[in-house]
Amino acid sequence: MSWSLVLHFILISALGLLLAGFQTSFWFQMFGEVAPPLLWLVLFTYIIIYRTGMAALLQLVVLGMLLAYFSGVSLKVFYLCLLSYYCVIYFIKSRIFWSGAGYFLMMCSLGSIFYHVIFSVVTIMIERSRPEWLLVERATQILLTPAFAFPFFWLMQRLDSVFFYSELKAEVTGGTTYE
Amino acid sequence: MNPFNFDIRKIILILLLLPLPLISINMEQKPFASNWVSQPLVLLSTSAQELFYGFSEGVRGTTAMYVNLINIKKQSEKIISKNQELEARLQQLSDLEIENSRLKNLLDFKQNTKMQMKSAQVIGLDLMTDHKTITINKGSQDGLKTGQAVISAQGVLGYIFRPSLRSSQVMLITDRYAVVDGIVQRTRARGIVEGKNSSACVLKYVERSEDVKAGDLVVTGGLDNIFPKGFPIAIVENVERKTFSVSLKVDLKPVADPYKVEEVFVITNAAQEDFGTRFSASAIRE
Repeated sequence: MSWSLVLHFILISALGLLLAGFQTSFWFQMFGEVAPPLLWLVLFTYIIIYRTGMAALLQLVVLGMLLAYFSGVSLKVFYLCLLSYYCVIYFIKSRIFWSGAGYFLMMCSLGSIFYHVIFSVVTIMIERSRPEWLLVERATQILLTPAFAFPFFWLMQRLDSVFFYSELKAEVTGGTTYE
Repeated sequence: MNPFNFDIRKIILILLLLPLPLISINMEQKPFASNWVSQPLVLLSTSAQELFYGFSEGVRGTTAMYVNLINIKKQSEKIISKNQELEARLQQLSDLEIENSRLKNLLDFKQNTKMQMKSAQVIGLDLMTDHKTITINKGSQDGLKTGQAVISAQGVLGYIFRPSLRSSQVMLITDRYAVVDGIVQRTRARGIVEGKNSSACVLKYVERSEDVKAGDLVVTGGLDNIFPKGFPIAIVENVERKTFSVSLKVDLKPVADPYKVEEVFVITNAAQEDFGTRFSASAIRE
């Protein structure tokens, strides 16, 4: 195991914790009941798109474990949602990919819709209690989440160029292979 | 025409100038005498002085006005700045007053009960919109355990379901997995309060024959000594009697809004506290 990989995991996990903290605490203090953007989902989307399949999956497992403590959601539901989300995004990425922030913005927009659909389906399938419609909250999140995609993309590109330069090859080679 | 070859003009000038010292000496000798010579001169000089005095007064006045205007502008800026500062301080004081009032209510509530409670602050909400939990800044190192009741001075908020070392997650009564036993205060009809959505609950398993109507207060049953008995949970909003159902469908509106609460109490020992009729639906609605 290379140190770069360990550093990568630690940094991404720390970033995930920061984003979840911002979403659950800072946003609530600033904007009250307004549904927060799914910042952690933006991070997940970035990882799935710009990392190899296996690295993204490993990171997803680690982050899922950490983020579950920010919510009352059961781990099985959360993991199932994350794995389903991973499959959907990976499927799209392996067929349609182009470089740049525009693509990431599009994937974040689609991802935030997919996430709500996936979460509702998984909850209906597994849990005894049906999820609420929460139309306003879900619509707000679907609109707000892509708004953070551009700054997040810029930030991650800077971080990647400093720490994980080689991984950026994925973008120019169609996002399929890099080593 | 001039046999002595004198310059007449010089002679006249000398003759005119010679008396002047004499007149002056004479005037010096009689200072209080009416000096007919000096009067017009004094008048002229005074006029000139008055003219320039008036002019200088005008200039000074204009200058002073200009300087004053500059000063006024500076003072105005200072006053505006000071006013803004005072307004900000006033706002701070107003906020402090509200906070003070809120804390006083909490303190009064704590002092007027025999329950053992720990106060905590709300530091976060749930990551998912589908789940209604809050995070408080007290954890197992403060003696908090799973299942302990979390209340505010107004009513029930929920219970601890995941304590960690320095913080705890509280499942709100509005979460779809939250259950609390409740009684309709007026008729003592029993049921189970379950979460419905972020601002509503339902009272389930109330017998169809029970008398429940909109506006009734639902309070805690206190069966397990986790919650005190008779503490407000929610107000009945709507009662539905379905034809083929053995129980009533009662919609509730929680008394305490968890999204507006900053400080909460965790009941570590309910000490068989019974609030009886200390809380009333009408008072809570007001």
